Amino acid sequence: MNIIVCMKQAPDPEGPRDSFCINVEDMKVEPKGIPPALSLFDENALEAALRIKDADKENVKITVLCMGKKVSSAVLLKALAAGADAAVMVQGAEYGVQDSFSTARALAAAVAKIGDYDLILCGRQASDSNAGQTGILLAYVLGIPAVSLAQKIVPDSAHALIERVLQGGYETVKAPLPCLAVVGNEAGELRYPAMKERRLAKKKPTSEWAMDDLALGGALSQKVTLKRLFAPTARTRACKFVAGDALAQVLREDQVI
Amino acid sequence: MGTVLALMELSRDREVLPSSLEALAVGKMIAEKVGLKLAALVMGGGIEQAAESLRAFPTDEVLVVDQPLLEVYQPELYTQAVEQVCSEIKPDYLVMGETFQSIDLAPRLAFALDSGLVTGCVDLEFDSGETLFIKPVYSGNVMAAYAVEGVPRLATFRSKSFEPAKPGESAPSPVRSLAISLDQSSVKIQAVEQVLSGNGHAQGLENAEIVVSGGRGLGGPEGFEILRELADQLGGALGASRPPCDLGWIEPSAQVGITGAIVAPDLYVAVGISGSTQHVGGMEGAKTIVAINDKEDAPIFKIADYGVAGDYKEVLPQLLEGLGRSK
Ligand SMILES: Cc1cc2nc3c(=O)[nH]c(=O)nc-3n(C[C@H](O)[C@H](O)[C@H](O)COP(=O)(O)OP(=O)(O)OC[C@H]3O[C@@H](n4cnc5c(N)ncnc54)[C@H](O)[C@@H]3O)c2cc1C
Repeated sequence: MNIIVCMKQAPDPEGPRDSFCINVEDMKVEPKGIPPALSLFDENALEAALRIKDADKENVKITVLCMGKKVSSAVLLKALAAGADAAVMVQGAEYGVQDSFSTARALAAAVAKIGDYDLILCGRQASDSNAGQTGILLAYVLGIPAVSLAQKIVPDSAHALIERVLQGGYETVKAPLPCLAVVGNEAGELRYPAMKERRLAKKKPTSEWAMDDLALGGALSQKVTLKRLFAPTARTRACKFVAGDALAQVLREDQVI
Repeated sequence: MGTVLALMELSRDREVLPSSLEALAVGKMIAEKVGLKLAALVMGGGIEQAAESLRAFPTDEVLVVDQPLLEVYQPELYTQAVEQVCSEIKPDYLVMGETFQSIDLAPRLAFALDSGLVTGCVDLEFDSGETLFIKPVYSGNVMAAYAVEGVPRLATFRSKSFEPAKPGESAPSPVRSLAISLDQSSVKIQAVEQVLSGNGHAQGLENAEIVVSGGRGLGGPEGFEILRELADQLGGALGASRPPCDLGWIEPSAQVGITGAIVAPDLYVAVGISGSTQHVGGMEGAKTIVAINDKEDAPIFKIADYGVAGDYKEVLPQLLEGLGRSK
């Protein structure tokens, strides 16, 4: 069973707000002092793949696919150390401000170049664009079924049983392979690699491709255009600090409760 | 004259969701600014009542697709249905509330209709003939304004970003039933089992007037026991930041934040929560915010109205005692 996990590199969204410097002119966010990281939900997607591999170590092969302007090797190593078997990075300056459609088309070309796959996993939304569309669009470009908000995936030889989060619970759906699942944080946090895995990771096969190596078939048209970036209005309130044993009293006096 | 189509989502007891009424209000705003008609589209099986209830809202038309096959959400059939409606109505805009369903459906529609989609919008701007969709990016650290090429322009709206539509004074809107034909042979994804509680309305959490939430600072599931006492005492719902959900201290549906429930209660009590942008994005609409955190410089105090700097293990028993004391 071959699993491809699409992982994006993005600045750590938990960095302090002032480290997200907005370059208004070029409409770019230039992170200051926060290292690139694996997009958070993509880590959940990798964890979901690793859990499938846990159940069948010999037969499951996980390839991480990471596409971007410039992919940091530290970021890829993290994915390999956690347990992925191989990594493919696709880099290119052309990969500028992309919308989800063109990203999906480029990813589909990369997936086609990787070749054999049974399952593709993506994160629910990227930590930078927060668009949450690429996974499903990729499935449609490839012409395979997509299941979103997956929290658990159990494949057999021809199908995958996927638990999909719903309002107030979940449903289990059955999709024929190959298929794509979009994974949410309910799937669990990415495991922490042991020292030994981190050393081994450096020896795992890594391919480096340029965007030009992909059979893209024409220009990638944009359907969504970024017009402006700006800082969110920082809403603050004047906090009245009180002692723990006075809180109930104060809230009552101020008619909060 | 073109149309803004607002897609209405129904709960499991077939009532229109509040987030859909917000989308309807968004649709109205676009229709007025751009000079278009507004139509509400409701789909499902056995939905006469829901369709009837929508007539009270100010729209030009309520479009109804009532088909047994659409009784429960099935992504491929819903995509087909909306696609067919769009080929008949040819809307300029298609707007929806952001829900578990639209997170799944909207990208499928974007592909099927070959249109651009902006998800999780919180605001709109109308700039010399162009509609700009405003949404938080970088997980809330930056705001972005997008224009969408192609029609219909697709957008989903984060819940509680807009006031919901209100029933109007004028005569009920006309209803039109649309006949569509669904091709079941295209269905690849089969539902096997559903494990659900509630009626599919946003959980009690999202409508509760008081929400008491715990964070990683509670240190474990035991922390939530005393927090639950506080929630019970105040008559509020129990929520959490993301780490307790991921760590299994509490059920995932308790998560408050940009990727969880968006709440705007009268009172929000945050205990052992640092106040990350991603959590705050889901609760800063609360009327009053109380924070309990052992670090005086925790960011949560910047958006709180009342703060107690202290260990929750000491503060919560004091608070419970204070609440228990006769008024
Ligand atoms: C794309 C994305 C989406 C996300 N979506 C969400 C979301 O929807 N909701 C969400 O909550 N998070 C979300 N997150 C995660 C978010 O970034 C933070 O990691 C998370 O909110 C932190 O939770 P916390 O405040 O409970 O934990 P921490 O940041 O670890 O804070 C714990 C706090 O508890 C305090 N504390 C410790 N011990 C005690 C004690 N004994 N008494 C009192 N206080 C104590 C500490 O001082 C600290 O301030 C998202 C992240 C990303 C990247």
